Amino acid sequence: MPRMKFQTLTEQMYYILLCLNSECCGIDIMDRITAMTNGRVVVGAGTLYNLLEQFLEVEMIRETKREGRRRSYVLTKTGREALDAERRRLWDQIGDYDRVFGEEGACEMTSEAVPSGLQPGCQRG
Amino acid sequence: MKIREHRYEMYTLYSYYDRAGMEEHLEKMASKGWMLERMNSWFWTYRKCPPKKVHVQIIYDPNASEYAPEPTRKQEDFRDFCEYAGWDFTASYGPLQVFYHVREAENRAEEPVRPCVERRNPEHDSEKWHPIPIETDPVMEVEVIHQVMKKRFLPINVLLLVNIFLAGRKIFPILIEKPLWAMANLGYTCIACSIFLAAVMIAVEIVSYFLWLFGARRMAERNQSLVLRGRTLLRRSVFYLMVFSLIYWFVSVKDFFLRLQAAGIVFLAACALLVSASVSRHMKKKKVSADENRVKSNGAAILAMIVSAVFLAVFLRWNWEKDGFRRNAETEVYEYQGTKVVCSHDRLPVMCSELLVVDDYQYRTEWDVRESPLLAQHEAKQYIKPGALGNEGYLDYTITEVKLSVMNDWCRQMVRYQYERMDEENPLERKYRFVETDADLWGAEYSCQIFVGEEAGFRHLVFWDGCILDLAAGWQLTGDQKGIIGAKIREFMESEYQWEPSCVLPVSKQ
Repeated sequence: MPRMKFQTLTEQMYYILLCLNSECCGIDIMDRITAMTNGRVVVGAGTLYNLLEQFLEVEMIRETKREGRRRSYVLTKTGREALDAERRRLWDQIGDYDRVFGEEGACEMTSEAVPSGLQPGCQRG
Repeated sequence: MKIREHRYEMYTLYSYYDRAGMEEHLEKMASKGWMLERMNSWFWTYRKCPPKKVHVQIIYDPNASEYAPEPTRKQEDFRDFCEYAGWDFTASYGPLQVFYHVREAENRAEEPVRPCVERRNPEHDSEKWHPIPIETDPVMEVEVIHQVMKKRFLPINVLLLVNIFLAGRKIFPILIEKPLWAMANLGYTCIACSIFLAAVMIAVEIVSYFLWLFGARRMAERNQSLVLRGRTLLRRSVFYLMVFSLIYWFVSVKDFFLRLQAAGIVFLAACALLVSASVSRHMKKKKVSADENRVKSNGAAILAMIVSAVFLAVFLRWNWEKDGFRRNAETEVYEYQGTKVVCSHDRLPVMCSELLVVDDYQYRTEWDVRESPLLAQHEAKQYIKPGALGNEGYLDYTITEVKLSVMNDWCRQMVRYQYERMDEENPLERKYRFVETDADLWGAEYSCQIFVGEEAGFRHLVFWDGCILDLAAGWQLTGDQKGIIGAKIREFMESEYQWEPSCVLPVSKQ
């Protein structure tokens, strides 16, 4: 699988890890992501389950408790590093964009689509 | 009137990878009031219910096995996740897992609880919203499907293709070498054609699958899915043609022994399948591990096949001992040089005794008929029986009745063509030549004798309207003998199948 080693994270992987910053039941992650992204990112039940299993395997998350069949997880140091690496990659991409189009152009473009205060280029400036 | 509570349907009419086709069909069945209840390796079992609008999703689970006691803890967890998202696990067989999602907005007149997502099959689905699919990562989805197909669909189909190729090397040449035989044996020809079509279908499915795989991988990189769809129409056509051919062959074949053999093969396969399925079910109930179950059920199937094969062989042997399978003629059984000889004495349209001063009882005579709506072939053989006195030649001929007059010319060409094909290997000086002879002697439209190089052979081809005689006599026929044969064949053809091969020869005791 191309992304098995999680060198880069897809949006779904990114948000699953982000949700596990604090302990969370696996099933609840679906709702958390939907709420966090305003419904922009949705994770299917099967995809979520498989990704959690794979994250466990590479110790990016760990199981904290099991109540019946409800299992809870939390992010590990390795998981946090993967998230940070992805964040850096995204910033680098944005930085490259800004260098090409200039920050003002970027702000004009994003202000139409992204709520104020969440425009990455502007924040950075 | 009793209302049907259950309904069975053969889902193997869909390719193993035809997820979209199966999903659409199950959705349609639910809207007609049939919900899937369980499935096995061949059939879906539906349960009657009020008609419902549902979404169906089929998932391939690479870790699931039809031999494993279900559900494992992981499967339970997976199904819990799906259930939370509104997808209820319905049935599974091996890696194939079926989930239903009731369309809440329509069925309960409510807004959907979960947010809308992009529709997977927009051409089929007229709904405004669609539940979140179970799988939302296209890359992972493609790779998981491929993992399952590498284990299941590809090895089975490649093996089938190789088998068909190996079997086809025996089956198909007959159609080319003996076209008249093939036309008279339409059942056999249909089976051969359906096997050929099955090979084409399998090849098309394998190619389609790989085309999907490459396309899906490319699209997955752009975070898009490509619908995986099989060739349902082709698959169904081949399946129905195969079933029709087998039934037609079984009904039309005149040879009791062949019919017995075919029934025997079906019996063996049914025994093996039944035993394997029951052993596997029993082991699953006992929570035996998948590997142990696989070994034991397959072992039991092989054992069942061996036992039923032995039983069948004993039964056939007993039948052979009884009458050598020839129930339509008197059979003579005698010992010759310590070996048992089963010798039939069928009545033939023309017999050696009508042409030579011989006793027909010194010969074994065999009469065989094959018939289709296009052609009928009557094959007669009269050879000296083992241990008989004298060696006065033989008669070996085939009467081909052409039932459609438009096929007359084609059949005449084909009779010659059969010998021309046989002749291909012969050296130049032994090449066959068709030398026209006096057709009036036979009372026919045309006749010729086959010469091997310069030497006159024993074989004659004689054509009447709608009838072809291909005859070999173990001596050079005289004009009178040709006249007798011609008259007897015409008499036979005019008898409109009132011919009774069971009219056995009057037995002249030695």
